[in-house]
Amino acid sequence: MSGPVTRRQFMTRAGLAAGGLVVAPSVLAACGGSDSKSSGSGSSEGKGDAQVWFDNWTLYIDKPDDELYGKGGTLDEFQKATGLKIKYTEGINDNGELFAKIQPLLSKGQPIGPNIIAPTFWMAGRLITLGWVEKLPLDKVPNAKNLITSLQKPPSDPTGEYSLPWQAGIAGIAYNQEITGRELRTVQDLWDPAFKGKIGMLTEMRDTIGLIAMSEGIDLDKPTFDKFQPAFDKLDKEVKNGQIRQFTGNDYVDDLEQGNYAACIGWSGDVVQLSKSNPNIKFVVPESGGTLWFDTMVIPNEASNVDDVAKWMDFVYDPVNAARITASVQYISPVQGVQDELRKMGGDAAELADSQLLFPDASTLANLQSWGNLDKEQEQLFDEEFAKISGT
Amino acid sequence: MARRATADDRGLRKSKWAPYGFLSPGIIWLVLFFLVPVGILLKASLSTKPSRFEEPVFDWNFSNFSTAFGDYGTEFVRSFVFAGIATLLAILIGYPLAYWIATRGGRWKNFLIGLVVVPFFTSYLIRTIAWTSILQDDGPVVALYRLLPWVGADGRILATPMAVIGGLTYNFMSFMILPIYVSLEKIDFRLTEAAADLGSTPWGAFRKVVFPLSLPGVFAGSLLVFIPAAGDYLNNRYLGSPQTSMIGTVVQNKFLVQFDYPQAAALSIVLMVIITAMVLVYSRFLGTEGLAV
Amino acid sequence: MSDANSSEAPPVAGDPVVRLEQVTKRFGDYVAVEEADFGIASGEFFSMLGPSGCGKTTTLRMIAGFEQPTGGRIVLEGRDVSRTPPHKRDVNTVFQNYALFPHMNIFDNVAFGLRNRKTPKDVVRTRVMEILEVVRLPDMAERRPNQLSGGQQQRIALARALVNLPKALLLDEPLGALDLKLRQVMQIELKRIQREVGITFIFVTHDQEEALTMSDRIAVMTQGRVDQIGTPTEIYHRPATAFVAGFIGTANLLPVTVRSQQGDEVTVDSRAGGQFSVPAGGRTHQPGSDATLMVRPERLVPTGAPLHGGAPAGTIEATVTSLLFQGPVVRCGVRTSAGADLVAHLGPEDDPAQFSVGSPITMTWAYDGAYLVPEAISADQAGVTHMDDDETAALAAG
Repeated sequence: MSGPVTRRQFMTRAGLAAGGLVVAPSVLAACGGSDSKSSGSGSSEGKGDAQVWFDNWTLYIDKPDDELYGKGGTLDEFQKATGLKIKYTEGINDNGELFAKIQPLLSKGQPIGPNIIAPTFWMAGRLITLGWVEKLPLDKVPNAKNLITSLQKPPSDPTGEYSLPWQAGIAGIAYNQEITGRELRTVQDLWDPAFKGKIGMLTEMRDTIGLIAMSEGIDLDKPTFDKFQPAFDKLDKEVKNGQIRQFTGNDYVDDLEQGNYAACIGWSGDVVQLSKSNPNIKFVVPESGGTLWFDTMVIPNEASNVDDVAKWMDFVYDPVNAARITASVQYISPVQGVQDELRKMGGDAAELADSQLLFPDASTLANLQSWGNLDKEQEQLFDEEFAKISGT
Repeated sequence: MARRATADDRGLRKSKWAPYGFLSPGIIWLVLFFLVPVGILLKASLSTKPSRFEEPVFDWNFSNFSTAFGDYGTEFVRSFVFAGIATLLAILIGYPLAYWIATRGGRWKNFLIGLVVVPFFTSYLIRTIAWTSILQDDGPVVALYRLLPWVGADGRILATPMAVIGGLTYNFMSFMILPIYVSLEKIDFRLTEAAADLGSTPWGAFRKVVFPLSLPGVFAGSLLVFIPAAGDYLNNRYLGSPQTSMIGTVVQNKFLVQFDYPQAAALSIVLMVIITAMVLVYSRFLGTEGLAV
Repeated sequence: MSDANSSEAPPVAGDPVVRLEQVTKRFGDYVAVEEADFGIASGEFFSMLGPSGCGKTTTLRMIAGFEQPTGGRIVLEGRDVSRTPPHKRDVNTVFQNYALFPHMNIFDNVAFGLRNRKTPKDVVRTRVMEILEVVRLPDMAERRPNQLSGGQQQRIALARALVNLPKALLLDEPLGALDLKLRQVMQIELKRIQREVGITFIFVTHDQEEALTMSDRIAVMTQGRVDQIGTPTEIYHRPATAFVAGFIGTANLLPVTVRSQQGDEVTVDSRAGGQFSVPAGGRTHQPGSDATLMVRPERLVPTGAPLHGGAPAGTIEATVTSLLFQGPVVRCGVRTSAGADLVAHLGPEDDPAQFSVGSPITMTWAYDGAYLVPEAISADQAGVTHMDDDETAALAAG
């Protein structure tokens, strides 16, 4: 694999590795009765003297030892600016695993340890629906006004009171022009018989089904299984006839580079990095539309120091701090004004400011859809059907 | 005399309990980490989830088992076929290697056996992913493969049953080699001289003497390869395709993505029962008890 | 049979079944066997005797085919088999550790060779049961080797080899693992079985008593060389080398120089003083050459005691150093004035009661009781050999 390991790359691999280990405790936790006292997400030790404990995905913030962007990262700056101590852990590998860990505690009204966690939007939506996260003290987060409009009040959090986006990205079509021999524009291009056995899908159900659904004329708002049936049928057909080779996580990047895939569904952030070393790798938001995904910050129930958490959220919604993070992680920032701040930083950071994939223009944005909330029954139907088709 | 006998008797009675004392750590371990989890699994497999994110309720719900057979028969069969072929390949490849090290290794024996174990120093996951690089469509291995007369110019290895079975064989090979090596090591190779002396060709001596005596190792190796291979999901995940999905994949998904613990538990139990049954039949067939030397 | 060694042996009945012609075996620089050259006659019980490392087992393994000679030829019934693999040679081996197949029952073990030769089933059954009768274990057919005692395993190993009616049966220290009593029983059994089946036995042992008891002829080996081949009597009474003299039984050795020879009577000077008359043993001894005078303990007596085999050959002045009562004999240790330790076995007719430790004694022997070994030894090799084995044998006899 070339280039730095991105957040999602790492998540897929570490998540799978941990998957085997996680099965047993989650069964025990799920079935073991009411005296289960399993540890919180991220780590078993307490918050210590830190007021804020943020449990996040791996490689998802600038670090003080980040060589490229200098000493004194966002975490240090926050502690300097507020006098608050922050504990930052990288305990999240996978949404399902996260859920399996926190479910036994939150379902019994017990604190999980960290007072901010970063589930992906749909998982945040699930937690919100289950009533397992606190309302955010938004009156103490004045910078929340900087949230970009496209992510305000998303279907996963219709009132916008429970979650604030952390970073966002686009799922679209990634392809290797050396193999396709032409530019791709639509999802239909993926079903070109010339690419038989060289098309990849993501194991992330919402991105794969979302793109196919949009290409079949189905919008992602108010999703129901019946409404999406044609998308599943289409996917099933292309799996059975051998058009689709495999369902992968972030390793699609390797498959693209190594010629296993002609094209696949992929994420913008990866391709930004990959295309630097291999200009044949292209990313396109299909004409029928791409999906916009984002990870969120939420406060789990029974969390302490909620006001201090608010200070942290306010801090990272300051465009100056947000830009420092973006320059390091290279995803779409949910904070307005980051583009200007990157330009001010100059150098490599300024280059990022001009990327369509980090700062999509209005027409690109208009072509992106976010998933509406799936209620738990519907979600179960989606997950089951997707698992059956994808064999994952 | 009579008094002595009583004293001996008492000594005997006391010592009758001693073995259980020595066994107790093992028994406690077995109960805590095997029987209790299996019990929990069994309970979960007969439960129903009222809704997706609620805890399962035990209600003798046998439908989980009918679903396990009804909906996932293909995956079960595929798992056992793949694991069976992988076990066979591991014997075919591992046996000669173990034999060579045991008979020709000389003072390098320990070093060579060490080499067999070396892959374990790298994570199983990383090793599996490494194969995706080696077998990539643009790579030299596939280029050579495509030269075979029955393989077309667009032939591939990844995302085929061949890759999954190959991955299983590779990943569990050491578990085959080590027990075979140990059983071969124990064989007195003067027995092959005796066989030669009695008119056996080298192959005949191997077939009639060495191989039967190494069967306990082959048996142990087969179990150590077949059992984890039948429940594996990583090889399919990285080297396979939707057409090669195995039962481990389904269980993993049911647990971690769908939170369908009852169904996952039922699938696990069915897998466990089938494997146990196969092991019993296999051991009866091989008759390992009589092979103890 | 024209070489120097075998020329000493009397002609044996029948043609040689196995002939070794100048057979040499080297492992790297190490010479395990050097120019072994002898034949073994049909129906003979032939032993190769020597201390460990003398090359006897290597020689046997070359006959079996497990090793190939570095030089020379091995001829089996007139056919050169030097390069023939073991499974194509018509000889069978009884291994030191028996090497029974642990995964097969006794019947299958014994039938192994016959089945390799595609013998019909009913013939296999008959022959296996016959041979089990011969080794007197007919009821063990269904047992596993590990259910048998050491002696029983030994008999099965024998049966497994004999059932094939080999041209020669090779036995590699087959009795070494058995305890003394069982070993003696098996020695008799082996002789009985050999007579019964009439097959040539080639027997490797380091136990001289075993070799003497059982063999028609013995090849005594040391350091890769065959020192002497002959019947047990020949080897015992007329050893070709000092080593043979010492290795077979107990011998009192005295370094001497040949003074003169007249007919079969040789006059020698003891290097410790004194002059003796010795039979020449059919050889011509050069005056002035060094040789070794050998007297067996049972022939060494105090002066005055009855002599068998001629006039006293000379006398040696000595002091009694030990007197051990051993039942039939008293083992009397004496030290000569030259400092050599000698041993005499005194019978009742020698009146051992008259001696005590420290008392002076004059030793003598009959003219025929000594033998002149045509090989020199140094002064510090003078005296009795093989003390340890002698004691062991004495214990065994008691």
